[in-house]
Amino acid sequence: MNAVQKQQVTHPNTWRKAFVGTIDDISSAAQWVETIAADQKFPEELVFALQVCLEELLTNVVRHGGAKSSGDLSEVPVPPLDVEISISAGAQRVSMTVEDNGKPFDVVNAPAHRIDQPLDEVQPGGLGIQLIRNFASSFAYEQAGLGNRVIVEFLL
Amino acid sequence: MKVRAGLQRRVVCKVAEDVISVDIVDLDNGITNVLLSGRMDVQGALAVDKKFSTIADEKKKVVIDLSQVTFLASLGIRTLIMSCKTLASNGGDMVLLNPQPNVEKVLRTSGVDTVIQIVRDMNAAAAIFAK
Repeated sequence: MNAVQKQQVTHPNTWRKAFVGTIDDISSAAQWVETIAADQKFPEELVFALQVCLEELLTNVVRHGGAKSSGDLSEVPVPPLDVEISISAGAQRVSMTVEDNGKPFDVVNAPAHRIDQPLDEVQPGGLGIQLIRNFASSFAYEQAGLGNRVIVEFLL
Repeated sequence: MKVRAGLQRRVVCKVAEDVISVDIVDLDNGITNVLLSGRMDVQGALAVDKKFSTIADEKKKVVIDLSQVTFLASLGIRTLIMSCKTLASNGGDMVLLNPQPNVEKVLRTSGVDTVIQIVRDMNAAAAIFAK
C-alpha cells in the first residue's frame, strides 16, 4: 500500500489531508494532489484543472483568510490557518473540497475579472476566481466544516 | 528557442530556483529573450518577481519564452502583467512565445492575450517589435 492509499477514508476513492495556510503548504498540497492524480491515472487536462483551482483557492486563503489580511503575501496569518483538502473520484466526476478556518468569504459570489481593459488600466485582481470558474465544471461555497468550505467539481 | 542563423546571443543572467529557472539572453537584434522553465505558481512568481522588475526597468523588447513553463496561475499572470505595464510605460513592449496548451488556456481564459500578444516563433515576435 502506498502513501496515498493509506490516506483514504470512508470511501475507497476519497482522500483527505490537513495542511496549513502557508506558501510552502500550497506547494505541498499541489504535490499531494499530483500524487493522487498520477496514482489514479487522471487525464492530464483534469490534473491541470485541479492544480489551477487548488492553487487559486489556497492562495486566497493565505492572502485573505486572516482577520487582518491585506492581500499581501508577506502578511501570512500567524499562526497559519488550518486547511483541509479532500478529493473524491467517481466514474463521471472528480470533486475537490477545500475547507479553512479563516474569516468567512463567499468565494463563489466574489467579483471575478477577466482582463478586458487597455494595458495601462489593468489592475490584476479577481483573476484567480475567473480561472476557477473556467477550469471547473461547478463551484459551490458554504459555511461549514472548519468555517469556509468550497467544493469544486470536474466532469470526466 | 528558435533563433535565426547567425544571430549572436549574450547570456545576461541565469537564475535557478527550486520551482522555476530564468535564463536571460540579449540578442543582437535588440530583443531580450527570457526563457522561463518550471512552474509559475505562487512560489515561482515570488521567485522571479524581482528579476522581472529589473528586466522591465532595463530592457525594451522582451520575449518571454513560455515553452518550458508547465503551470501558470494568477500570481504568475500578475508578474507578467505588471512587468509589461512597466515596459510599456518606458516605451518598450513584451510578447509571449510558444506557451504549452494548458498554459495558453490560462492566458486566454484570463484575457492576458488581449494585452500581451502570444506568438509561435521569434520571427513573429521581431515583426511585432518592428511595428
